[in-house]
Amino acid sequence: MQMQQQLECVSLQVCVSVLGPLESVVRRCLGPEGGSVLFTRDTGETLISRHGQRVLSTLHLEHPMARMVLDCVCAHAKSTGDGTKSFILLLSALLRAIQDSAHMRRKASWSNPALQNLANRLMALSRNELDDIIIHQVTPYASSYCSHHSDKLEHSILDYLISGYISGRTGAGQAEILKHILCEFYYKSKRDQNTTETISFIHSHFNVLHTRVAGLPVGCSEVIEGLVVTRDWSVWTELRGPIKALVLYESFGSSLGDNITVCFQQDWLSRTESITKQKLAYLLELQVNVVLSSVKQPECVLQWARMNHVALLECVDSDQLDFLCNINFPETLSHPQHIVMLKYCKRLQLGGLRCAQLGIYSNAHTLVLCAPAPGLLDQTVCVSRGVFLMLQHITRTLESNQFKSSSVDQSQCTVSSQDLWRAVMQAGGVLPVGGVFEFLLHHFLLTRHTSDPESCRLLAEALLCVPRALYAHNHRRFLNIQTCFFNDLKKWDRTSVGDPVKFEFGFSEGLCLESVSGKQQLVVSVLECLHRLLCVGAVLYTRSLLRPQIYSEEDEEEEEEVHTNSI
Amino acid sequence: MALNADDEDFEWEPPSEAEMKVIQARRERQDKISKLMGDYLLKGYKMLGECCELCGTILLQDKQKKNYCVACQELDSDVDKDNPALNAQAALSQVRERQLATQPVPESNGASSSEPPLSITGQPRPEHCEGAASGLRGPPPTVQPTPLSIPTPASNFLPPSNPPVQTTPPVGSSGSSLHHHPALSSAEEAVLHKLRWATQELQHAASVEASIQLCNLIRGCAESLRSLKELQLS
Repeated sequence: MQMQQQLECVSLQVCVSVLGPLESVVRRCLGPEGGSVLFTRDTGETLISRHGQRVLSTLHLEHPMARMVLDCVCAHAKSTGDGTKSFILLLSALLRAIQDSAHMRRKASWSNPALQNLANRLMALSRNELDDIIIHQVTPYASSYCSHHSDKLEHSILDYLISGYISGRTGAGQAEILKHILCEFYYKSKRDQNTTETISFIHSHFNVLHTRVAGLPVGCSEVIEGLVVTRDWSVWTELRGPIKALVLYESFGSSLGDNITVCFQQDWLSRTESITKQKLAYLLELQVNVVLSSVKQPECVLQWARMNHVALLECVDSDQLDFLCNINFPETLSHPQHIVMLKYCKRLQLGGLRCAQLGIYSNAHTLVLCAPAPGLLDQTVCVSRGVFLMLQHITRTLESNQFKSSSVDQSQCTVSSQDLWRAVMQAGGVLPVGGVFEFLLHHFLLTRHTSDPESCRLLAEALLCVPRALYAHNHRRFLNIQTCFFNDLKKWDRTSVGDPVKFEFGFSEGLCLESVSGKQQLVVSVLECLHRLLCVGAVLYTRSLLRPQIYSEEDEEEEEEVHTNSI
Repeated sequence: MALNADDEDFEWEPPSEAEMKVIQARRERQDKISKLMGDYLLKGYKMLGECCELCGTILLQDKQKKNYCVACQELDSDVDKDNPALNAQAALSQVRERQLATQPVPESNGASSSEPPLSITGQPRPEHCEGAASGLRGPPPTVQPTPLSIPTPASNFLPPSNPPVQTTPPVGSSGSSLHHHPALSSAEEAVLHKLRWATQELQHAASVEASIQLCNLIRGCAESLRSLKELQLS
């Protein structure tokens, strides 16, 4: 009987023991006061990161549950770009709370059916009640908070959002610089365009729109107009005005035509030469001044370019060429060749690197990110990419909410920039950073009249782990903030709608914002992952790898470990 | 809508003090293990999908493909405090249990010879075996710690489960004249035997705790030999 009970509670114990080390790894990197992890390889490469997903992916994890959690974290990060460390902390706190609640029930352990029942209840909570709480309780608070501080927030809500995202992810010195650069990048890329489209554009083309330069201080980062290609011109002439550029995906000498019978090498060589000359002459007729090629061109093409004052750029990334073609509506000569219009071509010096700068007829700018070390550069690029992913998540959520609520005027689908951020504020889409969302949700879960108080209580208690970890270095400050916040909340609860609310709760270090929808998505993702973990019935070990992911799940009554000799 | 299939889940009573302590201790141990494992993960160790057979902690593997269990090799094991070979208190509590079970006849020559001494060291370890220690504190401590109740092995130096050898003369003997009593010499022999065993064990001792215990045992043996000599001479 004892043995049976031990087997039954192994699943929860294993979850807790797997999540425990991951939590202790991630906790040290959390928040603005957190540190970074330095990874080194035997080859001498170093990677400095405090990005949760990067740190967790670099660890060697072979345990099937750990890998499953990692998959969930990566999937969450892909959609919001935010909250990977909080994910692990919240998940771990929930598992511990579940384990403790078993001890407190004077039962030896949770039985498997009871665990699965609890998992299902928590899922139901995330699907039904959480939405309700967020829409009817959290967002009104957020919108009244924003309207209270609207004088500060009016024109710079984007700045605060970006600084809220960055401050927890980079060092203090870099955060300021990066914030300015990213805001500048955004405003220059936008100009008169729609906010949502700009954000979506930047995010989807981020790979092409940024350039990395190692070896320079972070302060040398800048925003450059047009497209920057990290290759030097093979043949260079200064060109201005609208220029026709040929985009090539293959070498000139390669396509010879269909029906060629080769008799002698001499014959073949002279044929290829004549065909190439014809093609080049044709290009001159079209008044092509620039050739952009994704491969290396033969020497004769270089000579021809030098003689005819045609600028030639070789070995360009094909993604960048695709980008050029897509935004320029090129005329297609034949499949591997396109002609695009450029404003100008320039040569650029970035650190020790000589680059080419192509002026294009659109608002696109390139973000040049510099950092002294490759690891730091990687981190900076990750953070920048994450900023736009986070912004896109906000705008998409706002749009879907506007679409859902019928009270909004449907003709006002595309909102201009001022209106978008104002709409976000009014819809209660942003809250100050530092655990405000967790406090709010904790309070509303505990005071809610619900059919399932146990799950609400579990989630409410676990939510406080995130602010506790954020202020781990100064527990008194955490308690102060918590007390002050709950006093404010009580006052706000008591005032009726329309009365001005005096919010005393504020941050001395300046306002930073985070998105409510991102936080909600975090809680939902955590509860889904928890459900997956608790419903693992059996872990089967095989001697050989079936496929890269070894684990398999089955919903069975008993947990057993089976060693099998074959697949 | 009844989402709770299990009616037992409705009862929720606050836990008692003792249970809270147990939960707290367990949680602290788990936290320590997690922290150590986290440190090792960051050092490049691999988290395997297997658990240790002894304690159930998840195993780590270093770069030389050697498996490593954090709990067994770095923390004091939960069960070590109950192992009589490593802990005086555990041994004493085991002795007391056996004595209570066999119900010895109370002897005439005082309490000292049949009662196990308070401890070999004279200072009980506070965190282990509180219950055993408090049980043992009942009878007044002896002035001279008469020798060991560390259970002796049978002839083969393994952690014992045998009742201890009473080094003082057996209960019920005449107890008046102890001069050249065969019991004394056999006691001396047993103590010397024990001394030799402890020395050998000390040479092979791996952990600090075990070494300390063994040194104390040797001291106890020496003292008991001295008192036996005094008994013989007197």
